[in-house]
Amino acid sequence: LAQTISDALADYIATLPLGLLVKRDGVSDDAQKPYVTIDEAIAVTPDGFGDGGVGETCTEQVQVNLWEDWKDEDDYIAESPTLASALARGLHGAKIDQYVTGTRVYGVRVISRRRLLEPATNTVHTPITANVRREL
Amino acid sequence: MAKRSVVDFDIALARAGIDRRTRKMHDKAEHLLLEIQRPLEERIRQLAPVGSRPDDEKRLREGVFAEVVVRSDGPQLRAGVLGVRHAIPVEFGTSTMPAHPFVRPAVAEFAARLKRS
Repeated sequence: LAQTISDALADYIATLPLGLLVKRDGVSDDAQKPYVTIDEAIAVTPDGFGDGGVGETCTEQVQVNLWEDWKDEDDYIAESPTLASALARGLHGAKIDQYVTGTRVYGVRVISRRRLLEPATNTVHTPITANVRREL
Repeated sequence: MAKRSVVDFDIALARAGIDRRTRKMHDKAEHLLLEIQRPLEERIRQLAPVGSRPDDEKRLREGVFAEVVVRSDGPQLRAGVLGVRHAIPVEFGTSTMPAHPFVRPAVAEFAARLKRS
């Protein structure tokens, strides 16, 4: 079981039928696209509904990055028109509690998604911002 | 016929009551948002990266804004960076540069504060 939210998300994304590689620390830089990277703890805000004791909840904002090739060698569009939305759909409402140990996770809620094109590196970057509600 | 006009009258009264309460709620929300507008702007500036490119970073901090917009469905607080092209790569990262989020953490912080108040 994962110890961190990013590892739990990585394990969960690996189970989605999207054929996506989740690049973690230690994976070589020249990994084949499409792949996913995860930035965890962009912001961790306590919900403030409890008394600060056991079971106090918080919202952790994470960024799931989908990296795709923009065009192939023949200059045709290689970017999938459906992959980013399928990934966002898979994340929205996901229960990742069974993938993590040490903290209880209540669920994932996708907040936003945008498409950022990097023509210089032939890359389409789709950062998906999501809130993970979990125990503090 | 007379009965129907009484019902209409009751509905009109109820609607007026709801409108009044909604207006009151919107006024309160606007007041709260105006209170946090400047501190939010400051917090975004504080979280903006400081490092090797002072000119770019200065422009980034100068472009930070937060404004309260009153719409028919209620007041809204909008925050971000205006007119600085490298704000998006800094916030979300690129294939050659890690993300340095500075708008979203500040907004999340103040949204949580608003929820609690």
